[in-house]
Amino acid sequence: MTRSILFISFLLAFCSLFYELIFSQLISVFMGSTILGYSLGIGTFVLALGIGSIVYDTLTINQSKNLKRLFYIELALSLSGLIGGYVTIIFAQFITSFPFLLQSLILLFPIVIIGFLSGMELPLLMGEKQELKEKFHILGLDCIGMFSAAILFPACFFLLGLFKTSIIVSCINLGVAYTLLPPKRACMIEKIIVLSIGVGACLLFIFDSHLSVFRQSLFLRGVS
Amino acid sequence: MIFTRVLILSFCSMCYQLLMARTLAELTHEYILSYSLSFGFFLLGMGLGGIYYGRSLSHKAPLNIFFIIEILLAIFGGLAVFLIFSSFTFMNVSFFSERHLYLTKDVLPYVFLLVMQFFVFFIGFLSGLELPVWLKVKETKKPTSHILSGTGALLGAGYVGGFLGSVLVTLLIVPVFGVLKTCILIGFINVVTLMESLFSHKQFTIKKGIFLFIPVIILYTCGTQDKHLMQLHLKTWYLKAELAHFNIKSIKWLFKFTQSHKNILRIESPYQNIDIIPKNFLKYSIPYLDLYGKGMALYLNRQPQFFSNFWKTYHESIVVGGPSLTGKEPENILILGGGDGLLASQIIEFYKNVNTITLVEIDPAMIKLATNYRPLSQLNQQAFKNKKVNIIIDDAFTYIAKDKKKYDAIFIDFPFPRSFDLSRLYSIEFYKRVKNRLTKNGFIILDVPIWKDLYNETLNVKPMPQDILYSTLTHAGYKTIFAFGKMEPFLFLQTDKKSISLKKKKIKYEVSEQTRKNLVSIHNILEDVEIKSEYVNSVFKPVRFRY
Repeated sequence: MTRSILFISFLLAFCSLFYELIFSQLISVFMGSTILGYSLGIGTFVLALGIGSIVYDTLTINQSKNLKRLFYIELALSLSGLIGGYVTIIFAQFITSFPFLLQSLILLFPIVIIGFLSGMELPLLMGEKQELKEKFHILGLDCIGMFSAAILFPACFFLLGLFKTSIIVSCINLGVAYTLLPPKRACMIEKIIVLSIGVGACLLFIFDSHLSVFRQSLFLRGVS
Repeated sequence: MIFTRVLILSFCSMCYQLLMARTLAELTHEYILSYSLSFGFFLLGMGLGGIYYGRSLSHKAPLNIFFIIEILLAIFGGLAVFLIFSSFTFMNVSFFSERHLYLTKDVLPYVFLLVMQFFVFFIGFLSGLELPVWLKVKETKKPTSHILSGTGALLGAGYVGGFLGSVLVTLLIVPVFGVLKTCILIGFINVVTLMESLFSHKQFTIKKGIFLFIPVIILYTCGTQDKHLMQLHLKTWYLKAELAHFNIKSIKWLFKFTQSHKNILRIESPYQNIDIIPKNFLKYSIPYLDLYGKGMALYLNRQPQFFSNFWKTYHESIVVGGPSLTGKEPENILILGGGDGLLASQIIEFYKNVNTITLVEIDPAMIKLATNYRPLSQLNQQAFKNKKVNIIIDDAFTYIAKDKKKYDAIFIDFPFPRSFDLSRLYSIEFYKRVKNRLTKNGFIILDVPIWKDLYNETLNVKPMPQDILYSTLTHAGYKTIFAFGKMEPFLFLQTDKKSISLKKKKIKYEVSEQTRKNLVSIHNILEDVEIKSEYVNSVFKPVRFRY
């Protein structure tokens, strides 16, 4: 179990930072400046991570359901990775006439959600382990996961584009969520949900070129 | 109190990280790579720092460790941008020539970016040691019932500090002080925090006080030298100055050589770095066209925007080209970019029936410069004070989505797409939006990067900029694409299919001889343009412009 928890904490951190970078890139498009998008994105993500972990700290009630909770968090994360991009594009069309600060607040909202959810991951995983040394190991792999995401992101973005990248990351996240469920016949409903989202994600990936036309029409909405 | 301290410390760390990422991005022109790499290495450093503290430092007195961390952080963090600038300048003057076979101009920025990540990691490592120190201090203290004293609150303070750092630095501090001074200022904040915590924990000794002077002196000295370093960096870059040998004599020569030139004016806005290069500056570095070098020049993010000796040809061509092709003068005009006001001034000069000119520019600093900076406002003849000119400060990309008006002519004058910010202004989404703002017979003229090496075919790597442009424009629905301009290439676009040609006698305006030479079709070099869907540049899947 120790090894798998370490591996899970690596993968989860990897996915979280990937989402953050994807959305920072996306809001850079709407803000008109990569410097603005990335700086504000990173700051907001860190803030949301903090809020998430604090909220988790104050809400710790029942330790036994930790893995189940983590499963729902991961499910929410991979869903927001899948559809967050589309939601951002749609919202961005409505807020073009808003003042800059309000506009950036709205655009940063997906990062807040992702940061908040990711912030709960680490205390949840660390709660699984009692020894301080093991906790440090989890922390270390968390850092390495984020580091690998940061290294891989530029390559993925230019090779696959923003949306295909986000689908792949969501699938990794879904996979992790699946392993968190108890084996054999328990939790069938959750397993079915995960599998159907997975199939949906694969379809999104295969029909990406068609969807890119759809995205552009979303993007150009109101221009006609 | 610990709460505030942690907040300030993480504010400083976040500032260092963002300033380093930003500086690296601006120096290498690799924005996405710089930001994500620096963030990754910084996080790795922070994480390993935390682990290292837990393993090897946790039994030592926390405040003594804190003292060492802060001294190092104040020196190296505060000087981070300073050191990055210096090493980039050093690299430039020592490696740029062709004698280094493997480290060519293309590879060098990436090598630089990677090497600098060690430094980013180091700052991250030091920052990662800070939080455990205060957790430890809090642990040893008596438990209090105060709400802001829990471990979670301490972590929270760290996160809030990071957030404040990102917002304040990007939006407020850097536009006022510039990156170099901001970084040094943050270093001072570290020193002050250290001093405060030493006093409040009654750990202040004379010996420590003396040590505190080291970062203060170093930061202060470098803080006073920031303008010199910036000028040295800019001048060596624009002059393409190189060290002949690695010895004191040639370094002295370099300093003398750069000091003999007038200073370059640099304005750092959140959108770009604006450099104004004084007269006679570039005559050595652009020798093949001494015409360029003798006048003043304006560069955006170290890319040429205009040369005062050549701007007339460029702007006459872009303004005269359209009516010469269609035979009709436009009345309502939209200019996207072109905050220098030169394009607007030429439109006022040539188009006698012009009704309105709407100019959309993202950077207020540029508009301010064009109106108030005399050498520039003389060139553009105070075009922005003309009643017909309506200035809108907005991102062209979003403005054309909001705008409901239609225009007879749209002039697009953006810097070439070296970064992603600029690349999205050459994307299919952008061109589709622009198309909808045209009247029925309206036209668009684009300033574009088209080039071809006629002598060395191996340099023409696919996709060429023109492949990307033609593919993107065709997929955006433009039926007529006409390329002209022998020295300064432009694209003329219309939505319906027309056969057009550019003949000398069609040019009815009084323009200089050079402009006349420039106004010819360049379709002969565009014969092998390939139009493919994979070359379409989209904001969601950009294609890299290489030139």
